[in-house]
Amino acid sequence: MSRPIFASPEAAAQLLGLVAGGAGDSADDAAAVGEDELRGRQPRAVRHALQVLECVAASGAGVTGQEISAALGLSRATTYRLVQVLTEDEYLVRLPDLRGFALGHRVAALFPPPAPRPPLAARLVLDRLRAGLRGGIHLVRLDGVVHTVVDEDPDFPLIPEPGVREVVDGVCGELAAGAPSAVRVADRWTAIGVTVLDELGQAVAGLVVVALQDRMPGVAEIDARLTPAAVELGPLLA
Amino acid sequence: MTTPTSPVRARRPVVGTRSPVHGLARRSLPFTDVVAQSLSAVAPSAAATTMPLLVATVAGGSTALALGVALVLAVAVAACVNQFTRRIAATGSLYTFVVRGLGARAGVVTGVAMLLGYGFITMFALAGGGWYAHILIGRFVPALASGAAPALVVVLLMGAAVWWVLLRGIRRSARVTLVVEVVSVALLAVLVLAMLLHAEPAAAVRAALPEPGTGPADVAVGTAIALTAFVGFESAATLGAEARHPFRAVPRAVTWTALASGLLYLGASVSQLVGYAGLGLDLADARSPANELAAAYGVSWAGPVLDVGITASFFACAIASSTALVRVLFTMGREELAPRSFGVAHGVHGTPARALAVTMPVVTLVPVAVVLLGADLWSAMQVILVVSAGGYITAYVLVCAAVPAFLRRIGEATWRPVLLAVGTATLLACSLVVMLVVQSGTFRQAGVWAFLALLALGVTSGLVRLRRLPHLSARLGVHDEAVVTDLLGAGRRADGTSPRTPRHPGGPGSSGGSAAA
Repeated sequence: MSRPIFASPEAAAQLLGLVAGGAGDSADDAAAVGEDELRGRQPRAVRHALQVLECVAASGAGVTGQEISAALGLSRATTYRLVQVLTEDEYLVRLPDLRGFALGHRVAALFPPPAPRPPLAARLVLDRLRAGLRGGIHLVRLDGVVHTVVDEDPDFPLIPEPGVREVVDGVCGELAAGAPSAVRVADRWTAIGVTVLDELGQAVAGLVVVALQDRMPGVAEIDARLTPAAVELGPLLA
Repeated sequence: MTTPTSPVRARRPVVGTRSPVHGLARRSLPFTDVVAQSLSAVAPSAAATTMPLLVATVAGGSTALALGVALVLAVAVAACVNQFTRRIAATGSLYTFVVRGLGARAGVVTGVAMLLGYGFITMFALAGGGWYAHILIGRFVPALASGAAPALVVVLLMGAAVWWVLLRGIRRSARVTLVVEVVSVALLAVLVLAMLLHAEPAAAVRAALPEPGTGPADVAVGTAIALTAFVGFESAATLGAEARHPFRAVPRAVTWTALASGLLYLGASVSQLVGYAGLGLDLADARSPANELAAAYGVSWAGPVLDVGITASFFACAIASSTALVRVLFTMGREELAPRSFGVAHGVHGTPARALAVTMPVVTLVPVAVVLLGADLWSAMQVILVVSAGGYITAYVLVCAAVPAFLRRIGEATWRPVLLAVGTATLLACSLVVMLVVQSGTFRQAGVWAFLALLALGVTSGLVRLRRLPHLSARLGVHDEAVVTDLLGAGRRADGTSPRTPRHPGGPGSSGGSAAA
């Protein structure tokens, strides 16, 4: 249902912590810069580490080191070492009984939780809006780690055609940066968006109309319909 | 709090919203502050200048060998301690670890031993600060060079200053001591290198090798005394809850402090031995080796600078050791093992004020009283060091012995750490027994008897309290625990809004109410 929208490859890299300048916790990570490339058994170790994460995810919180080693067929010493490294970096968390493990909050950066489906009241607002306006009307959450489409127009879905992604990305980027409304044109497509704000004036979502340039209704008409809908959606989504 | 140790996963522990040590600033300290705690507790520059001399007085010709053995043992103890620090973020250090491995009674013994270790090393550091400050004063005011009074005044002043710093909870003091240590260690390292380059290689090797006629008992006693030069390297473990990345920062701080200070001691002792051999003197008869050597080799300007550095280093050591001392007492007070009033914090500064008020006068006045009773300060320091060594080594033996039990309990035992722990515990226990036996034949026997009496007294009262209050056993060994915001699905969000309802990964959703026990 929901699709991540990365504004650019750099944004994606920054999100995953591959580029410096993201979270500022790096006094002791600085030493890691400038290591040489993967060699020898390192690729296998990386694979094993990811398998450990998968195993904890599959077994649920509370799985012990012994159980992981049995499930993956790794030696116990190797397993404990891998679990140790993953715990140091907080990808895994040791539970209060000291035996069991759970996935740590850092894993969240690798897998952003899917944005929840908007509540019925919000969907009814969208239905009314779609009934009165020609063009694909989509609701995009802007407050998560990634911008995600949480309610796509069922009659005019976001087709993978050149231009569509570009205008949607552009509009959402602008809205997330604080603009109250935004317009983008690319190829034959146009997108117009307004922000849905919470009580503090922070953007929580964007209402985006996407249509072929020649089918797009006038800006005045869109504004007159989108803005009240966005005001109505604010308390339902924030 | 703990799940019964059954072979299968009996039940999953409930993850709370607050850690048991919640008052502390959780996950806040950067790596430098964690290293600063360990480094200032060890006070390597003060130890590097005094310890070779102290070891030489007991180990005779095998000073360097004893220091070498102590280095290996200290690194082995660090490896054993790190079996815990990599898995538990604790505030009570070794005491918490032993409770987790061997149970509450062994934990009580460890706690008492650590109190002796930290308490007497604080006395030693205060007395050492007085000793070196007196040498420094004597340089500029020759009239004050003799007599015990100036040193005692310095001890009292330093004790008061330590009390004030700890009461105000000056966090920055850790960084100041780090700078002081780095500067005086660098100065010392330069002198050591100059001395070693100046000497012929053959002389250095001859000085490092044991002289004929020294037996294993000499080495064992020397090793036990030399180990006191390392003590404190584990004190970074008290910052487990507060370190930003505890499972990475604390083990590194512990290992590197032990290794680096050991190498410094080895270098310092060999250079002092070479230097004294070159002068045709015996190190065991020296008063202040670094000064005398600097003067004899024509760099007398380095003497006063070193004195300032060493005095500052002793002061740092007193601060760090008493920090650890009151912290352990405070934890015991909170857990009700010690009288509950020790757990009372200062209303404004949030520091363990009551524990300070009880301990600081004792640790300051004991060395003063001993000297007033007619002992010489330097001899008093040696006796105090024996008590401290006994306390520390007892705690180290127990923490090493706790490793196999702990690893088995959490189901992560492998042969390598178990073998290392058993070997280290055995060697340490032997060295402790030999030290106590040999020391009981010298003038330092007062230290042996004081150690045994205080240990017996503390352990007895602790065990009596444990029996009288049966609920106590379950409360000991509190440590920082994972809380819901550490887990995936609890949403630690960049915009700082409160986390959503906690969800368990894998489970369809226990509600927030049941997870927040």
